Amino acid sequence: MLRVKNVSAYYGNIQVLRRVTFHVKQGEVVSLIGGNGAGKSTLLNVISGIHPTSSGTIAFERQEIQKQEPNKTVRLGLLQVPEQRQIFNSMTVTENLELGSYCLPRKEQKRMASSQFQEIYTLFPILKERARQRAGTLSGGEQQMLSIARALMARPRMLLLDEPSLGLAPLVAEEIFRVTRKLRDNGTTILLVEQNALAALEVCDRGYVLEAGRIILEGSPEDLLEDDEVQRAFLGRDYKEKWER
Amino acid sequence: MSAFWNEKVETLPREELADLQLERLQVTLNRGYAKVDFYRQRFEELGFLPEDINSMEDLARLPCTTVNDLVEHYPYGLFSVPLKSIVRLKFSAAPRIRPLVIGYTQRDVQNWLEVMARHMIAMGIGVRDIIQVAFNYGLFTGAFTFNHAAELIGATVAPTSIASATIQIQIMQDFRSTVLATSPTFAMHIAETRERLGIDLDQTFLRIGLFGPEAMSPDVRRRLEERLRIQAYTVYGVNEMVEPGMAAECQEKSGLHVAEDHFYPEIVDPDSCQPLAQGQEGELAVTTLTNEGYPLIRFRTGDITTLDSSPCPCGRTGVRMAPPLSRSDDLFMVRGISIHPEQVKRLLGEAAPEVESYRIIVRKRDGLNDQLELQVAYPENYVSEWYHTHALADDIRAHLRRALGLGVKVKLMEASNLAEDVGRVVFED
Repeated sequence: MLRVKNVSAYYGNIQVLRRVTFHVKQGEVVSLIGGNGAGKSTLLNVISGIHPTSSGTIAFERQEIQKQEPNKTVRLGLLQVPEQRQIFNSMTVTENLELGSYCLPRKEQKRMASSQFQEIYTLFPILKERARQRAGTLSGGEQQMLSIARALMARPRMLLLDEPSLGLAPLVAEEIFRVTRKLRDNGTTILLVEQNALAALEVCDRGYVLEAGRIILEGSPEDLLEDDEVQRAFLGRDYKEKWER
Repeated sequence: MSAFWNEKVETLPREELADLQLERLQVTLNRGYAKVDFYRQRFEELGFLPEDINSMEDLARLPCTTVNDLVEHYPYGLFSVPLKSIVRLKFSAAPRIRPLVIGYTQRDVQNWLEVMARHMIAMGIGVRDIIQVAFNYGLFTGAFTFNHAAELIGATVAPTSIASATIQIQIMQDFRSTVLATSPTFAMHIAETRERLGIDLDQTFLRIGLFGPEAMSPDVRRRLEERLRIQAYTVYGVNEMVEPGMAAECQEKSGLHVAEDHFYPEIVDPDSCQPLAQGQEGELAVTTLTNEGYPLIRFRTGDITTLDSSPCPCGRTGVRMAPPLSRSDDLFMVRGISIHPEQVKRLLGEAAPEVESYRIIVRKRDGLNDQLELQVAYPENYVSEWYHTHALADDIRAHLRRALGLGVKVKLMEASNLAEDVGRVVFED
């Protein structure tokens, strides 16, 4: 569904992505894990067209999108849920959601609206309760849910989730991951970027480990959890010698 | 019609396969660069960064890795994970002569079994089959792979190891074995023994022969198929990666399908290590794409072969390699054990430093066991008392046997009899 090939990207003179190649198949949840500054968020921004690539190709359903404007990729059904939620604080929850379907044709917006809201409220009952409240007054977890819900309003074929658990209490984060699982069960393809490797690996089908702009590992969640590199980087274990016990 | 073990991967269109290979190659190079000093140094000397690889063709910019590189970094220099992640070690039968150790992580072992299971299914082996594994479990650790892969696909294993041909035949009859996994040489010996014992082919149930590690010539294949009434298939492996399992024949018998999602094969010029055009004959160099424990980049296997990526009627898209019947180095095989002439020279020097000239005779016998003979010239000023001669020959024999794990015939003779073959390997029929 999504095929990223040899993608490099820079911030000024600093190379952040070094020929990254990976793919996401239809219906898969793939997580991309890595430490601070590994290039995870940049990679998502590059895919959705916010950040330019310096080389390489990105194909979404066989269509090359590396030169596309972000608004075009959204129309293709590739939606990013940004880090730090980025919701419109002064608008109500409903208004935020309505904006999510902005990219759809007017007629469709109207036709879809009620059923779409219904679906979203089943997925996030709390948003129904808070429908008339200003988004800025929601808690962190609720804001994150709103952010995801807003993306869902555009009826995405694939979701790019950037650090959905950032800054959330563990219980709330768990709720977010529960939703992620549900979305997958509904057939949404998801690329999930997370620092919380353990949680991310629990919900995904496959994962990649990004380190200093390079992919150094690919595999099933079980494999990655067992990998010493993942353990060292994310679970705080260290090793110095090959024969360390 | 043929069944698949992992149809999706085995029939992946070549274009998609190439994408998958590139993705995995980059991971392999990134890991090699980050974790293995040997590769990092090599990259740095070349001013090469893993991200300089844009396509599979760019791989040719890197030099080949040779067995000597592995030996120089013995034991753990080329491991890319700490030992606690390694679940299996495999080392050469003669660690003192050519020290080599390869490590496999849990995932590596699983991948190995997976490719082996694919090959077995491709040959038509299934749950109803009884696989008689007549490999030496002691010296050839690959023998276990037959067991585990057979269990994985649900077949039954009868590990007969190195029991004599007579016993093999008896077990074959009693258990009704349907598959024989062994070397072509031993299979031929079993066939001969069966004829000698006068056992009718109708009393055996064999239908498939799974042969390795040596490749069989078309003539040997024909004779084995006739004399054992089987379909004979070759399975290929590389000792430093997976052996057996890297490639094997399907029922079309027109080349060995390489498990290309795990191994990237190239045919290179043995001198320059540059890739040759497809269809040209050259040395097989392999890059591992998924190995975690012991990644190898453009490893020279020493086997001479060709590659063919044209579609195979069986539907598998993995490139097909011709059975490798020759080598680019002097390595030769006796009863399934690879021996390098340098090893023999070194062992001889250790056992009897006074010996100056010798030659190695290899008698390849399709039917009976191969024989390795060492013809040694009497040392200078040697007093040829019979007990002396015996003691010297015994010393050499015992030493070689211990190191190689193989009985060697030792013959002492006048230097003039060695003619021009001093230090060389002579093949006799």
